[in-house]
Order: sequence, then structure tokens, then C-alpha cells
Amino acid sequence: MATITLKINGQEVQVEEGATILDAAKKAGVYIPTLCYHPYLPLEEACRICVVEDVRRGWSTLVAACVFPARQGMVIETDSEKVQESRKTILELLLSDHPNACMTCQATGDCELQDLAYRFRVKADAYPGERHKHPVDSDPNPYLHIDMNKCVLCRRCIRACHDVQGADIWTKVGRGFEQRISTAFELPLQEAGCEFCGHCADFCPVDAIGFRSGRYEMRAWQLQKGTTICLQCPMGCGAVYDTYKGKVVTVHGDFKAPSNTGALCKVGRFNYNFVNTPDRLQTAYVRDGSGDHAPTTVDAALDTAAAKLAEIVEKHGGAAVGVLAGGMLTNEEYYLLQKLARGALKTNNVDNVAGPWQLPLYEGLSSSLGWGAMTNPLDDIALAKSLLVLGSNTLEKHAIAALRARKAVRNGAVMIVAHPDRVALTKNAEKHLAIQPGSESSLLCGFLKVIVSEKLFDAAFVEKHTQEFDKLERSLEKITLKDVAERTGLTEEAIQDAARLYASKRPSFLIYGADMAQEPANESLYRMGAALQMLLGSVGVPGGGFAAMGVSGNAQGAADFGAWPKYLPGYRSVSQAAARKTVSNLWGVEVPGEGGLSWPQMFEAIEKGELKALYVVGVNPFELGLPERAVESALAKLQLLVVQDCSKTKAADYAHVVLPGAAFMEKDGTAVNCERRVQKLTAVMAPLGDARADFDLIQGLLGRLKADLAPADRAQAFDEAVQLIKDMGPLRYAALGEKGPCWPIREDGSGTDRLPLSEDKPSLKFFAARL
Amino acid sequence: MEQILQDVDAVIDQWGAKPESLLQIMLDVNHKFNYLPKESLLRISERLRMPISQVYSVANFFKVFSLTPRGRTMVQVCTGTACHVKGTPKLLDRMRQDLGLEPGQTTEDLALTLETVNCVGACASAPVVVVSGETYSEMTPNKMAALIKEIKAKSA
Ligand code: SF4
Ligand code: SF4
Ligand code: SF4
Ligand code: FES
Ligand code: FES
Repeated sequence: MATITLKINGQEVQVEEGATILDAAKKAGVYIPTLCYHPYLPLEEACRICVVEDVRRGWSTLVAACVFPARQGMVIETDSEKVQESRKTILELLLSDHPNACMTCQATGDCELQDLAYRFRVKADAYPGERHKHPVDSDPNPYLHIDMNKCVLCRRCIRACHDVQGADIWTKVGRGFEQRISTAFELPLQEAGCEFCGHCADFCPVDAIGFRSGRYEMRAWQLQKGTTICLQCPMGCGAVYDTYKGKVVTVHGDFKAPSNTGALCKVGRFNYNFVNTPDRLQTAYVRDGSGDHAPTTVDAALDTAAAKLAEIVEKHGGAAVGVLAGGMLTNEEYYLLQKLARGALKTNNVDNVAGPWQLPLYEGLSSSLGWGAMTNPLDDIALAKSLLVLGSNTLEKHAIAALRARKAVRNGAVMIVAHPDRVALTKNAEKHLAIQPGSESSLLCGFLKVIVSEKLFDAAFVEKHTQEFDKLERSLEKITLKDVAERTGLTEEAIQDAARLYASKRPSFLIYGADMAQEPANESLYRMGAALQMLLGSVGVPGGGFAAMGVSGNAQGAADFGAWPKYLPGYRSVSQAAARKTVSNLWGVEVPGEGGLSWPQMFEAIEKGELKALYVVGVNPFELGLPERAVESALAKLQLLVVQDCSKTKAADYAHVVLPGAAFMEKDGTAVNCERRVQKLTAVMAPLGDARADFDLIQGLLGRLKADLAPADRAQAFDEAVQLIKDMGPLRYAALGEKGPCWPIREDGSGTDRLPLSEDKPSLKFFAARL
Repeated sequence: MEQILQDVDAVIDQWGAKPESLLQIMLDVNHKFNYLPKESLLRISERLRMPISQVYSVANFFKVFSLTPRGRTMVQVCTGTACHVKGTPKLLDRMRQDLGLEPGQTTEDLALTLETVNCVGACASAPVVVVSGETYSEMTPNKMAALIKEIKAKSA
């Protein structure tokens, strides 16, 4: 690209062609005020506060620096009298129709208009005139506070809603003085279809669209800011937390985070009650002789828990003990938990809530593609030309994938959404296939059938990169579209049309989000998904891949670090003696060979009296989707129940020992998101009272049960674990930076974004399709 | 409702369901119903695959479009200074009395819409009322009532 040289305030600066004057000024370290401009939004010349003087021989013009391209030989003045005059006028006009109520305004201290007015010392009443009288707090929704009297018409909200969320709720209406920001038909946000992602509030430079939380309770400068990773779903968004006195007040997307680049979903944005709740555990409890819970120190509670666990293992063997973890633990915590189970409690009965959904994902994809996780980074979805979306209500459960899919559609891709309901994403779809619940697998089978029998596939790619195509072909001969139609509840034509549409444009992206509200899929769903992408030459290429996503925030890390029954860290099979030996050697203690129980099996085993002790960490057994009665009866049967959580759940009532844990934003550690990105978490506040991060509690137990197994700290735990995880081998805890790499990690510590395809021999494999 | 949607679909089919045709489609629909019914905008948004907020914004921007029903005849009462002084308020009062009609509103039979306008440049004959381009001079409440009666009768 050509380089351009221009002069800003007499200083020479060089930029690439395509850069704006503002870009050039930033490079030269020259300040230009902006208001409607935002580095993460498309450009729109709405406010002209950024005008600068473009000086040419004999005459000059004022141009908007944020949009105007830098040109060779330009001479720019950013502080001439003409510029200052114009800036001032714009600001004075803005203030002439503004409440100027900074004293009582929530934005004070964090308001771009206030900062500009202050910096340029403008008078609020330079232009007396009509002021708007819009109702204050005009929208009844529970999340956002709307006061359009403060609007400066920068249209960032419109751009954010369009370009970041893709919901297109806000628009501008009216002309001249009557111009304002509104929803269609002036409907309340909820009725207008708002998805309450909060992006408009995040981007609004003033308090016209603001967050409700914290309003009139604290000022902007009283908030503490901390950046970490949100673990409420497998997207693993970078999130900035504003906290105040041990409570989360507001959450913002981290623009620097690679998975979300500033976006957040409704859950990440607004669901923090589990941290702020008055039910937070601040001390440990142990059930005393009379059956009541008595508060005690954490160390004393750990002593009790360790002694009782040891006693039960001694008496009944490891098979009588189970360990169950939630979905928001760190890698180090998962690693330590399974080490505790296998190394100290002599059992493979260790699982995490997401395990049963992650297992088929891993097994299906690793056998087809060579690695058992998502093939491309999330960002790649935006480059697709056709999309098929299945499984979860993507916008709610796997939001960033949905936002990227919408972006692809804005760029001309076709999208098919297959879901029993008209989920919000269908509004952007070319086709909505209202399939029977749980028939995703059959639908994929139908797509394979159509694409293979009509020869719509990429024969060259199949030839070069895949094996056993004939196996797939033969299996499809036995399957008829009629059967597929029956299973899915669609017509044969609808399946044909959809499959043809999906195959018509490439690269294509298949998005499948697992959903805890549904039974786990079997591995053949993942194999067929992989097969579909292989047929279309759309795996491991920019814009082409399979976004297979699990059900919890660190489901990927839990699997990678071995917190499930079937595999040791690094997907080493428990049933293989050699695999056990490697781990045993590293730990210096025998890893049990007896197969372990998944968590649903654990509850069955408790019911049968085979499992007598359960250690649950960061999960409420009453929220697993099991019948309440069954959980009550199981928990009541246990000889020992240790509950470790950040708040007092119903399960704590049944516990013999209650340990006060912490929420994910109170933890240091690492996690892996669905795109295999190993990311660092940094506590944004300290756990309350005596509460401690789960790592410290698990470490405390391990230290008491088998001291030589307990690593000194998180770094040591991580660095030890990666010795077992081939794909992460070169990573070191201390070296993990802001932008984590995606595994497999290369020798030099860099990551691998996309599934690599071998040039010499086929590396992808087809399996028989199953209806 | 069904009928409205059928008519809207016909217009869309004529121009093609693509964003470039938005204005033509809206003009035709507006012409057909004399305003843009909400359902018509929703249908246009759906078929052109454009966000409803954008369609609404366009409908709101151009003066030719109306988002509320409009009568077949527009009755424009001048509220310029001269007319105001010479009795426009009384004309409007009479409309309120007789038909319960405020400026901007439409009679139920869609016969007419009452509008106020700024000085139409006929101050010498104030107060004036303009109906379909024709100016009625030196209006009184009674003359106004008669005029309206005539319009309603013609429209029936
Ligand atoms: S939005 Fe900003 S400038 Fe406006 S009243 Fe609030 S703090 Fe002051
Ligand atoms: S909260 Fe999100 S969806 Fe709702 S208006 Fe704002 S940006 Fe749009
Ligand atoms: S509501 Fe906020 S973001 Fe939207 S135009 Fe007004 S000031 Fe800008
Ligand atoms: S900041 Fe450049 S036009 Fe608004
Ligand atoms: S004021 Fe009515 S015509 Fe001039």
C-alpha cells in the first residue's frame, strides 16, 4: 500500500493510503476532539466537532478529520482560529439544547460532552433558544435508562445496534429541530424487539442511553475498573467490570479481546446478581452434632472435609466418592480437582456440568478432523458466504457466534436457521426451518444426502483432503429423504431447497451450539457436521468451518485439563495403561484404572447407595435439570456432602461441610473458550469475607489429603498440567498475555487459528451417516 | 387487514422486493391508502429484508408520507398572523364542535383531514381555507360548516 506524507500543524507525518486525517493526527500525537466518532464503529460524519483546516494555496476549507482521507501533500491546521471558532460554535449549539444538569447526571465524570465543554470552556447559554422536552426515563425496561433530552444526535447508538448487535432497533426520525433518536413506531424497547445487549448504552457518549444499575448510588470516579474474561458461556468474552464496595455495578465489552472485540451478550452484561446477592457465603460452616450448621474458619472446615473424605475412601474405596464441578471454574481449578479425585481420592468419578455435552463434541470431531474442538476462530464466521445455524438459541446461548453470523449476512451471506422456534436470529435468515426438537442430527443427514446424491460437493477438496468418502456414500444409499422428512417434520422439498441453498455459496459455516436444556447429542451429529463441511471444502479455511460449541464458560478447559471421567488431562484415555502411566509418573502416585462416572451416573449411584460422598464445586445440583425430588433424595442419602460455592444454594442446606468459594471475576487463572483460546483471568475484586477462590480451597484439601500432590500456586499447576496436554505444551502461565493464543500451540508459543490441512496426505475422515 | 396486505404485496411485486425499490413502493402504498398503515410498513420491511427501524425512518423523513390515516380531501386552515387575527380560531372551534375534529385528524369516514398551514399568501382575504388547491376567502364558521358538509356529501 502506498504511503502518504502530509503536514499537521507544521509537523510531517506518514500514513498508509486510506487513513483519515484523524488517524494521521493520532500518529503525530496531535489531539483532535471527536464526539460522534468511535474507533470501533463505522465512520459517520454527524457532529463535525473534529473539523480541521485543510490549507491550500490561497484558500482553505474546514473538513471533518474523522472521515476525511489523508492525501499526499496535505497541509492541516488543527488549532487555527477558524477551527477553534467552529468547534466552539458546535459545542455551544449542542449545549443550547441540553439540560446541562451535570450535577445530578449519572454520566458526570464519564461524559464526552462534559469533557469537551470543559476543555474548550464553552458557555452553556451562548445561544438561548428552544430546548427539547422529552420525558426523562422514557422507557420502562429494567436495564437501560433513556433520557433523550441529553441526546447529542451522534448516532453511535444506531451504529452500535446495527453494526455490533445487528438488531437495528434505534433509528433517527424527523428533520431539523425535530430530529431525534427513536425506535420504529416509537415503541418501547421491549416491544420493538430490543435484545438488551446494552451496546447502545456502552457507546452513548452522554447519559441519553445509560445503564440503570448504580444510578444515584455512586459517581463514575468511585467505580473500580478491572478487565477479565466472562465465563458465563463458551464465547469467553473479554469484559471490563465496574465494581463498587465488593459489588459489580456495570459490565462493558473489552475492545481488545479477540473473541468479542467489545461486544457482550445480555447475560454477560446484566447477569451478575449471583455475585451481588446478599446470599453470598462469607464464612465456612460445618454441621455439628445436633445437625445444625455452625460457622467456623475455612481451615477448620477443610480439616473436617479432608478427614471425612479420607475416612470414606479408607472404608469404601475411591468408587464411593464423586467430585462434581460447575462450568465457570478456571483451568487450574479443573486440573487440581481431577488431581484430587484421581491422585488423592483414588477415583475417576470426576466430572464437570458440561462434560456430557463436551464428550460427543470431542469424540466426534477428533475422529473426523484430527482435533476435537471448533475448527476456526469465532471471527471467521463473519467471512462466511453461507451459514447453517442449529442447536441452541444462538443469540442467547452463544451470542458472539450469532453476532458474527449477522455480520456475514450484512455482507451478503445467506443464512439458514433450523430451530423449533422462531428464535431472534431467524429475522436475519433467508430460511427458517422449524424442525422437530432434537432432530438436528437428522437434518444434517438430510443435507448430506442431498449434497452427495446431487453431486453438489467439492470433488477436488474431497479427493485431496479426505478419506473414506465411499463409507459415507454407502451409508447414505440406505437413507431416504422421506425418513429425514419424517424425523425433522419438514417436507422433502424444504430439505432439498435448504441443502441446495447452503451448498450454493462457499465458504460455508456450520454453527452448532449445544444446549443444556436438551439431551447431549451423540458423536455422529458432530461427525456428520464435519462431513458436511468437508464436502463443501469448508473446514479450516477463512470463512469456512464448524463452530461446535459446548454448554459452559470453560467447558473446553474442563475437557482439556481432564475434569471428566473418561479422559485424563490432554485427552489421555483412562482405559489405556500407557496413558495412566504417563500421568502416574508425573504425579508420583498411581492413577486408578477403574472407569469413572459421569455426573448423571453419579446421581444414580448415590440413589443405589454406591456413592457415599460428593464434593460439589461451583454448581447447584438443583439447577442441573434433574427432578427436584430426585436431587433431594440423593443429597439426603449421602454420608458426606461438601458444598463449595460463592452463594448459599439450596444444596448447602444438605451439606455436612460448606466452603465459601468465589465468582469467576474474583479469580486469577486461565480458561479456554470454544475457539480454543487460552485466556488469562485477572480478579477484578476480592472474594467477600473469608471466601476464597476455588483454587485455594481445592489446594487446601489436596494439601491435607496428599501434600506432595499440591502445587504451590496457579502458575505451577498450569505449567504442570501442560506437560500432559500436548497441544499446550509450550505455554507458560507467566507468559500468557492479554491476547491468548488458540491451541495447538507451536514451539515458539504462538497459536493455531484454523485447523491446518495437510498438503501431502488426506487428514480428514468421513464416517457412515446415521439418521 | 388481509386486503391491505394483498394490496401491499401487489405493489411490492410490481417493483421487485429489493431495498432499492423502497421509495417507489412506499409512494405507491401511500397513494393507495392515502397514508402508510403500520401493517404495510411491517410487510415492506419483511419482504425487502430491511430493518423496520430503517423503513420507519424513511416514512418519517419525507413529508409526502403520512403515518396516520388521511382523508380523501385535505382541508387546510391558515393560521398565519392575519388569518389568526381575523378569526381562524373560531373556524377551528366550529370543527371541534361539529365533528370533534382537531387539526391533524381525519373524519371517521376518511372523507377529509383537517390541517393547519402557515400563511398561504392570501392575507387580504383572511381568514382563508384551502381545499384541493382552491382558496376559500373570508371564511366564517357557518361558511366553513357548509363547505365541510359539501365535501362529505361528495365523498360519500
Ligand atoms: S450527559 Fe454529560 S453533559 Fe449532559 S448533563 Fe450529563 S454529564 Fe452533563
Ligand atoms: S440494547 Fe442492544 S438491541 Fe437493544 S437497542 Fe441497544 S444496542 Fe440495540
Ligand atoms: S442516544 Fe446517545 S448514542 Fe444515540 S445519538 Fe443520542 S447521544 Fe448519540
Ligand atoms: S467526530 Fe468527526 S464528525 Fe463527529
Ligand atoms: S395569514 Fe392566512 S393567508 Fe396570510
